[in-house]
Amino acid sequence: MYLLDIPDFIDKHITKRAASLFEEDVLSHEAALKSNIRGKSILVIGGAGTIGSNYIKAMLAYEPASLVVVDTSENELTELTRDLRSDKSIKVPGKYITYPFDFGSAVFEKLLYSHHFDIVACFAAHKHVRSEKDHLAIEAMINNNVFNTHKLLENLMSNKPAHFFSVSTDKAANPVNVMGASKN
Amino acid sequence: MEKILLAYSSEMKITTARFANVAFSNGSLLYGFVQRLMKRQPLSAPADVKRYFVSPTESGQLCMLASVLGQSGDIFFPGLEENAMMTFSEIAEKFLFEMGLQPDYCQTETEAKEKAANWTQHHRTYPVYFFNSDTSGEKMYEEFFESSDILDLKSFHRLGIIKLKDKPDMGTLNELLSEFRSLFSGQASKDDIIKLINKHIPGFTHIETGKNLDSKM
Repeated sequence: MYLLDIPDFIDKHITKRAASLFEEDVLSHEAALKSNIRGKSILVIGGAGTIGSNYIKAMLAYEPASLVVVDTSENELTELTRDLRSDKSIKVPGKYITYPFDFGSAVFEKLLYSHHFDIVACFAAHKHVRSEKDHLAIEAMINNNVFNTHKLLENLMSNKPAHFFSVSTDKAANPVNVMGASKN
Repeated sequence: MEKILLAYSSEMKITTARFANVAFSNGSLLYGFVQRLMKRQPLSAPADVKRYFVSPTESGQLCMLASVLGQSGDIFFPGLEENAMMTFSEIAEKFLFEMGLQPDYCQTETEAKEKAANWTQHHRTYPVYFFNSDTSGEKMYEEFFESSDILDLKSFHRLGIIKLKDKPDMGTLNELLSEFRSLFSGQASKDDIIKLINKHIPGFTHIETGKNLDSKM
């Protein structure tokens, strides 16, 4: 048995693409990406997960001035920092802070009220269909995916970013599970 | 959640994106394959569920393009061909082939666990347990938009956009949220919650089989 190069395995056997599906879309919008990201302040919520951390890597190529990352997983945040600091092609901004807390918490509200962010991107979501096993699990999922998103937008009303993005799921189209419905 | 985003889309610039599976993302089944192997445990996967996949890098680029270049109310989705869908069992097999291993198809979880416990580096096969999906809330296929949606398939090369059609009304939204709040303030059953979701998403058909993934390997 030998070790597997996972990015290579994905390109070869799963997506079956040598280059990114979006390579052309990224290249043809370089100027707009640069003017919207360069020198800007970014807040990424749920930024230690796979999509969040890859969003961060994509954005850092355009040299934002600052990056704040919030995530409930302290371990994953630590790993994110190691990942960003260990990659020769990634330039970590001078102001880079990670916070291990929930975006529904009071301390998160303090962060929002004490900073202005040009770009806010939220990836903090319950994504597993298995997380809807019973009423308690469903309540936690709806609290996170629905109520926390609502609270976040309300809190941003007095300090609006130029761009707000929140990730959804294909399961929100004609939902058959509570996870999909909560994202609808 | 999308409805909330869209309701606020006249207050600030808001965009979102619908996703395919991100291959080997944290907590995903494929990520679990790596963990199983490191712990000398069998691979287990549904044989009948087809999914679209993007790479982690692609997932980040999709969100970057949507977050910076979209117009308020836009829902982005990846432009993937239907024949690009794959089953998890197919990926499990390729995953093993790439490491020089052949799948050893087991009929039960118990058989797979026993074989994994006896596995050594000298083996040329690896135990797998493939099954047909019977847990709640699983779609057999994936879709990014509904037939009544207005689509923009021109602005980007490999990205589609669902354009905002009817902005959800803030008053209706607040009523919905307060209905859920009051339901959660007491002891609501799973049925009560599903009923309330049904009231607000009329087409919502929850596939309940009484089985959950947490009872599986």
